[in-house]
Amino acid sequence: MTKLITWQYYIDFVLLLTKKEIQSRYKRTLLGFLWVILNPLLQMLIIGLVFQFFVPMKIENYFLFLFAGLLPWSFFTNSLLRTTPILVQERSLIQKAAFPREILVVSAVLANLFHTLIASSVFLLFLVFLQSSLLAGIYFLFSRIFLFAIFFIIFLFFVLASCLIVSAEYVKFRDINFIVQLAVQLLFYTVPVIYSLDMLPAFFRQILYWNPLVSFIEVFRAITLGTNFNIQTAILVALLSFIFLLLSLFIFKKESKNFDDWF
Amino acid sequence: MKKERIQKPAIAMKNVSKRYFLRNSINKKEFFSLKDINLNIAKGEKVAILGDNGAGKTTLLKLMTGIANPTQGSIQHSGRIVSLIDITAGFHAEFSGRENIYLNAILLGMNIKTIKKLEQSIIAFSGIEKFIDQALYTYSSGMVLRLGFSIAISADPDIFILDEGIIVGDQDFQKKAYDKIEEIFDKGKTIIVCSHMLPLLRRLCNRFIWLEQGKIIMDGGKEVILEYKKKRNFLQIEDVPSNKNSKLLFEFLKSLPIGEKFTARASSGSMEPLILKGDEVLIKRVAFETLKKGDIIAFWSRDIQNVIVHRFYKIEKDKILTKGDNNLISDLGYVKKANFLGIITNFN
Repeated sequence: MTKLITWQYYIDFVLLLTKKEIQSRYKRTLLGFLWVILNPLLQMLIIGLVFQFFVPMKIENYFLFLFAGLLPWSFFTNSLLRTTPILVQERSLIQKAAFPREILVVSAVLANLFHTLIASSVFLLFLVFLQSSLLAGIYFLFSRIFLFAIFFIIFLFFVLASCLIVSAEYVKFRDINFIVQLAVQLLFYTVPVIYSLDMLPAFFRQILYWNPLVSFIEVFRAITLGTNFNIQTAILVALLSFIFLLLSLFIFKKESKNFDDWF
Repeated sequence: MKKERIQKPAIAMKNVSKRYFLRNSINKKEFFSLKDINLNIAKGEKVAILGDNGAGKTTLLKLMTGIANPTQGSIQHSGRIVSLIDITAGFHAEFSGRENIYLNAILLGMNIKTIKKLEQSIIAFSGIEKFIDQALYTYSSGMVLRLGFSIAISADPDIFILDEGIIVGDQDFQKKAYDKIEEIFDKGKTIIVCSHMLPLLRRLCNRFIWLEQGKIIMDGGKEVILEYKKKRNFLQIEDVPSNKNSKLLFEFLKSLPIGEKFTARASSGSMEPLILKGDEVLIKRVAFETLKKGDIIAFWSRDIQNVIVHRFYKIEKDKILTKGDNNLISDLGYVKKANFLGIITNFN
């Protein structure tokens, strides 16, 4: 690969592909960009109605609780499902041009992050209006924006790392797509999106904490709704996410040399 | 060509091999697309890669650009490489021509600032200003290729890698594209090109590498083309200028004595061209009794009202049977002895 890739070029490339990814999703749709917020909202309504009226959950403000869980969950799963087959889908590019292959994965994840950030901002603004006074609202907004930024940077590391590894391995092992699709469905029940960890026996809670996603969802909920979370695990997960990202980049770089052989 | 070079080579390949696996559901078979390639390409060299399909040309280009990595050996290059292996790579049908300029140009290694600067000239060269903001799926395939070509030639790399099928579009555009390619060749950049258009290569390149079954058979100057052509025993189906009085012209040429020579300019090319459109062909009047199998003969075609060139095979009754080298039925032809003109002497 060309050794003269500058940062400017790299950033331009990522942003352009991210823009393309976002635009192509809404090309020729009637509601267009509205789907960014409509999508998670409808998802919340559907799941919310089930667990509010058919199988009632004993959680206060269940719809808000649910939405705060769905946002990070959707970011992770949408990114993973989109990027798993992406290298094979874009094989015509990979076989015809020499460019850093990770850009394909990175920009797909960033496009998803963009959606998540918009939905989260709307959610945050909604929460501001729920505050008791204007002053409390403004304080809430500014204190949360900072936490938001830190949270999403670390979460992005984790999601990126997962996507890089899975997409690179998919080139060789095409079963991975099926495994990911099933795993996502299964994982949904092992993370506290529709329920709260407090509802589980301590033993189960300990097991579920092994899944880093649990911490991410808990922390996001703590930032937005002020619920409690396991701070030691959260810090550990944050550190591990960083290491995980470095590891995944290393693996991806190594695998990307041979992508062309497997198409 | 094998002079000592003080400069760092543009591309240096050392003992490079590339192995692929031919997989089916049961087993996989090893297959070496390239074997032990040692190659130094100096800055400014214009290199043509010759070889039949499956000789390893594309693999060689892929390794040079870094699209694929060698199984063994090492490749080094200095300078920015742009490969035009597929000029429409990165195009997205749902996006407009203008948006696609950006998507495609960035793949060729240009950053946004550069693309913005070149945008206008790319659009102007492509000649599709009117449709540039329409979605690409509304374009004809010719328009897509023109846009792709216009973007590709505005890339300004140190090393250019061109695969075949670069000259595209209708006749007007082909001329423009051809001129542009000549211009790039004149710029003193390192160029590696891989094409079946031998006359084009002969004109533009100064080094020729003949690949066969993953190995370099010959590496040198123009003599490589001659050897390659001998080996390939090329066939040609070409014609000479057409005009309203071509029948009269033929009568005149036919009346020339045996041994007389004349030249003609080819007015079209074919799929496997030995003579490119515009090339000069030297035709020698000979008696058909002296024809040998494999001679390239020129004869009059009443259907086309022009002179056609094909390879002599044998004489059957009062007809000459011509036959190319790919054993296709459609490649057979019968020519009346009366329509025979002579043999081509400068293309064997």
